[in-house]
Amino acid sequence: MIDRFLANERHEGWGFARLLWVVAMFVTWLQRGVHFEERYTDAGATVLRSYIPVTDYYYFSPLGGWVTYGILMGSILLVAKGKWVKPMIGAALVAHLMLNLTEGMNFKGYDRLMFWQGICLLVAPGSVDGKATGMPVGRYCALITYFGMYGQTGWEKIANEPTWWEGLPLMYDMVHRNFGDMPLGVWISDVRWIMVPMSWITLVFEAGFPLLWCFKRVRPWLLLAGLGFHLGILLLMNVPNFTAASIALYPVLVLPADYVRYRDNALAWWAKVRPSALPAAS
Amino acid sequence: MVGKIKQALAVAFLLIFAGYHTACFIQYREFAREWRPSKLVGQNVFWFARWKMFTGLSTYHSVPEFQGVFFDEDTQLMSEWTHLPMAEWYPARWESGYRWERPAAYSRPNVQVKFLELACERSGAKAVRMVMHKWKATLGQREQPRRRYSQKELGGIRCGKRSPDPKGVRL
Repeated sequence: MIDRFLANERHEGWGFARLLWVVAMFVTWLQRGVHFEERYTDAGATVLRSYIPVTDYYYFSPLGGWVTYGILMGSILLVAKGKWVKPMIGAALVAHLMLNLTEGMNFKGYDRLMFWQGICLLVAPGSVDGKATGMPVGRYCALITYFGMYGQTGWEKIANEPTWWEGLPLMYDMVHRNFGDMPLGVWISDVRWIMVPMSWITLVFEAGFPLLWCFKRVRPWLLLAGLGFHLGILLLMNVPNFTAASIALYPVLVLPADYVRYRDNALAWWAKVRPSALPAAS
Repeated sequence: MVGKIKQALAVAFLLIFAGYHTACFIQYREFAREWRPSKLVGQNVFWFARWKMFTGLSTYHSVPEFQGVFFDEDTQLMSEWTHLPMAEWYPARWESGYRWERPAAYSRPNVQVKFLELACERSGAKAVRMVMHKWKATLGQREQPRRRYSQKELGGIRCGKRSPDPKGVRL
């Protein structure tokens, strides 16, 4: 049974997943380069807090901060290029952790997600390009991470905030002065016949993800729903980095053969509908 | 033989990975509070894979503001509490807003004091304080009039003294 569970596989989705992770990390950290010294060095407020009080152990001067930031961005670019992939993922994760922990207050959910995704990439076969064969440890780790993320936040909503069934938290999230305040989100925030079904869909998708994924036929629809869910968040709420991080390891949430089939179908569909494939107007 | 060792390592890794995520999933909050495995990780060891995103209902806007009092040399009088433009001086923002807008920044005195000191240094005030403005959110519109408005002082300091730097090594 263990032999079957850990049978070697070649999952072509790893290459795409690696690039999506690189994009999520790069976009997130590029923005943080603006006012970097105020955020992550003692040119701003160096605080003693966080669940791990790391400033008891280290904190950054502006120079030290920039060097760490340089290591982080350089490592991400090398991962994108496919050069020394695993050591560079390791270096990026260490720098990512060090910076987030020393800042202390904005270690976001998607930062932690990208950390766990990085661990998945580290244990993926070969150079994480989808060409090597190996045990599916990375894919299992990715599944555990997504089950945890969606399942936990969904069950928290169901167990601890019954007003989700009435749509209220989502309605007020849309007008939140930081997380919300997007034109379309604000506009629909008081339209109950839109917001209540959206709340229900959120609960079913998030809380149901670990259960629904067990049905093989449902998986592609579940992941499509996930894409729609995150695109909806991107459109309606001001949390763009969360969207990029959330979908990064979607390609490896399906079996290798299924990934190839879905990818080929998607590419064939795209070849049909892309503008250059249309017959020229006479 | 090598294959079996590899398999055993893979299973052990997966069990640890899944065990930790499961522990976070079922939220051993009470357990975590009591268990202090080391000084480094502190109390909440089941935080790193715990996701509680946009879960709670919040129907109010909460905006902290920094205010300072200044000494007028001409009149030899202290000014009224005056708004300090912290957002201009320290403009770094996350999706959750400015750094001091995090509840962790103003609900923990040892964290809050660092931001109050920044406000002191930048403003030259004699004393600074943080005030929380709170009002009911209005659905369906971007303009958010201050309905059911209230304000509360979150803490303050006299300027001049500086709390010690962190104990760690400055890299």
